[in-house]
Amino acid sequence: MVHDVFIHLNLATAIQTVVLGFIGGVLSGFIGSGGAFFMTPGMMNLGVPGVLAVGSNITHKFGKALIGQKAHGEMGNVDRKLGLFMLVGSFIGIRIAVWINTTLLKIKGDGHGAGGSPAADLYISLVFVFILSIVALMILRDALKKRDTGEEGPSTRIAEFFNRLNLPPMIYFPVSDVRISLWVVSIVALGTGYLAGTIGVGGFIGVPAMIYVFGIPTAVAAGTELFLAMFMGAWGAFNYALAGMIDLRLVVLLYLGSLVGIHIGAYGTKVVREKMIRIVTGVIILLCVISRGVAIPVYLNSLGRMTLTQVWIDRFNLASKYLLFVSGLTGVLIILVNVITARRRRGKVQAKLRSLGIG
Amino acid sequence: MLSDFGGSMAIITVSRGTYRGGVQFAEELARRLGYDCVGREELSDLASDAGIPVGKLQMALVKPPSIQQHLGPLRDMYLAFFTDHLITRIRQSGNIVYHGHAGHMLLSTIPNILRVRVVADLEYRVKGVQERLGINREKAFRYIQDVDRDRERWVRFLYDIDLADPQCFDFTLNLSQMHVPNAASGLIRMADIPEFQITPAMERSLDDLQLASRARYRLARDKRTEVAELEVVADSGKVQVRLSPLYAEVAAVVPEVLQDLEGCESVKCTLAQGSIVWLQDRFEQAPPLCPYMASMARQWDASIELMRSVPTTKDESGAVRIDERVELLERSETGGIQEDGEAERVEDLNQARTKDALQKQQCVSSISTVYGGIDEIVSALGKRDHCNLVVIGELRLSSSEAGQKRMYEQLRGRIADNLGLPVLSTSEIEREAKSGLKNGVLIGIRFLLVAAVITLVMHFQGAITALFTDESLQSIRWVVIVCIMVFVPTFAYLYGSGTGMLFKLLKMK
Repeated sequence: MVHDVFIHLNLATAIQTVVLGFIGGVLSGFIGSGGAFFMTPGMMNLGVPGVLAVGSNITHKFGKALIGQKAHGEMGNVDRKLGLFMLVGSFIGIRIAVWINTTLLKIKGDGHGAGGSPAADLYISLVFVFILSIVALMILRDALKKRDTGEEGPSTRIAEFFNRLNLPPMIYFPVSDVRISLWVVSIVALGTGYLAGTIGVGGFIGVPAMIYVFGIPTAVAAGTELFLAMFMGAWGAFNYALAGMIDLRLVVLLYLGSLVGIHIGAYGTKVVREKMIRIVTGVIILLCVISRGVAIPVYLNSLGRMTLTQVWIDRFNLASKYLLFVSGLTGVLIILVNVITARRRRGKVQAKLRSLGIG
Repeated sequence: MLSDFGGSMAIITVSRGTYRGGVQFAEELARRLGYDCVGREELSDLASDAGIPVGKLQMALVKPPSIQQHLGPLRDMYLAFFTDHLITRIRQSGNIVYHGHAGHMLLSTIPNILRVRVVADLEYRVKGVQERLGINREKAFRYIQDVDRDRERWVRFLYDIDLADPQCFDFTLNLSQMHVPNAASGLIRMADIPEFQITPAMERSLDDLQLASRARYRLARDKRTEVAELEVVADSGKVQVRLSPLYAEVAAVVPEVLQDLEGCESVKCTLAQGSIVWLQDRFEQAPPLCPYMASMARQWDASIELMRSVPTTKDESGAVRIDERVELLERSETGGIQEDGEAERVEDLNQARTKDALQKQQCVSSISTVYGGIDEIVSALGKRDHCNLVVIGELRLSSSEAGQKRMYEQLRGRIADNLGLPVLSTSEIEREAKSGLKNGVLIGIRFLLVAAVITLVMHFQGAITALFTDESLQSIRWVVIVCIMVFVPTFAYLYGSGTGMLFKLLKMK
């Protein structure tokens, strides 16, 4: 017997979850993020309550981050001191997010999913739309700006501004070689944790924050974020498990797809130009945002803030679902086409070399 | 004299030693078969006439190994000349018996050659020396020992092989028990079997080998190209020359040097796209890793630079002193890499042998030495614009295992930080190389376990969801949480490592 909050998983839904994980994995390997920007709304489109989607995704992220940060650590890209200082703030942020989500979960409406709360779903969707539309526009602006001006490296204006403020206590982080105010670190950590706990997206906020606000090198920001994601994932998984908001079935099915897709996505970064990577990233995130935005009227209707007929409810749900999958599939296809073309080209070169007796 | 077994067409090499009856055997065999008979002394005289300092090469045998390896280019020139002229004689005669120390190595890439080794008991040989030279038994014994030792060194210097390895030969004849004419009669029948007949494929291989040898000889004689580390391959009149990226400036000159080369229709000179630096304190005589390194280099279209590190210390006066365990010809006073044209390179003998082993695997390779510690190594690597990968072997062999590991981690970190180059250890490559079938089994086991978990999860959906929703299980919620926190990363690791291995096999990781 399947209970209220948890959806019924038949073969079709299970396959869709695996495909969701695969697309999320390809995009995550390609972009370097955790893939939550796609998988969280994707699960919600399958009828999974928003809180459960976030909880399952953060648990999925925990396992992946544990493996992924090892490689970064070996390359020396992890500032563990900074990571540990950010832990406290991010843990508090996650705790706040879990409390808000689970409180909203108790507010019942007509129900969008199997047994979730439209209030919680609406809240998650609004935060998702607001934050990720800013991220998407910034990425697209950055990609187009580089082409025109040829500037190299991220801007350090914000980091220099905070350094000039000199708010004690100031802490020196040797791996990143920066001095940052503990207040600034704590606020960024709080925000990162809150967003990770609310929508399951941490990297898109944490990494740019470390680069632009702290002024640390990109590679160290990525490595440190992964280190942090491991602990945030564990803490988030623990808190959502306490609230009973983890669907282990979804976690396992997501892994089935994501741990294959991530290798294809990572390989794709070798064969696709950097500018194209950024443009694809920005467009996919924007489409995910629109997909989530399209579902908002349904939640407003459930909460009695809007009146929609069943036909329109079905249309909005379908549009949201297909918009998301189309964006994800399009991105994956672009990557796969480039990967396959590159492999074929390489195979031809190798064959030619062999025929010439070289290699 | 035509052979009594008319119609057989073969190339026979006879490997002989001192006073084993090898020369007589070869001449008798050639006489009975009606073949031309050529000895190494004849080709050696031709080489001397052509201006190749054969005597200098032979004198190198009594010098330290470090001196021997300076003569690498001269050795290559000698071998290229020998090969070219041997094949010319084969072309002129059609059939041939060649006798020398290791003539089969000159034609090692040619199929269907009948390779014979002639041996004799020590007592037989001692008697032969006594009779010939009129010396007593003790002196004859010492004479044979000295000559055998020199011969082994010569063959090792030229070909880096063990002369006594029976796998190099098709037949070994012990002339202590046989008369030479009878031994020759016995072998004639072997020369007639189809496996040792000259075929069109064999002839094409001879043509290609001769063209490559001529090209190699010309490049070795020309001042502009004599020092370049290169690989020469010929195929149906097309000559391919591959160079390490360290010799980019030589590439432009190669076609000019090979202009009007007899039998050459076209010359293509390519540079390896990058290089792999293989760094360690000492190289083994024939590192088992060579085939895997060569395979990696071919996949990446890269050359391999064998970089030997020589640790140094500072004495009380602050002067740099080299570790006493290292034998040197000259000590660099500058520290860092010794470049071509500077003070003579000091190379470990085995380092050069490793280079030869890699070149046999059709991999362009070069050697260098760096003196000092981590700073000097990183500085030397920084000068390599085309370096794609650094492979680190055993360093600081005199230190403890923990010390060696620390050195490796420090060096790895510095290379990653300063140069952004990927670093692998030789043990990682060995593990990967040996893992083939084992990896396949591990992948299979992992996927089976994952399939079992998925099946159980889907089958017991109700029970799994009830873990959180069933009120009666609230008391063990903490146990459930701990189980989830352990299960999730374990599953991710199990499945993730399996997919990682699979994508490595597919060469997408």
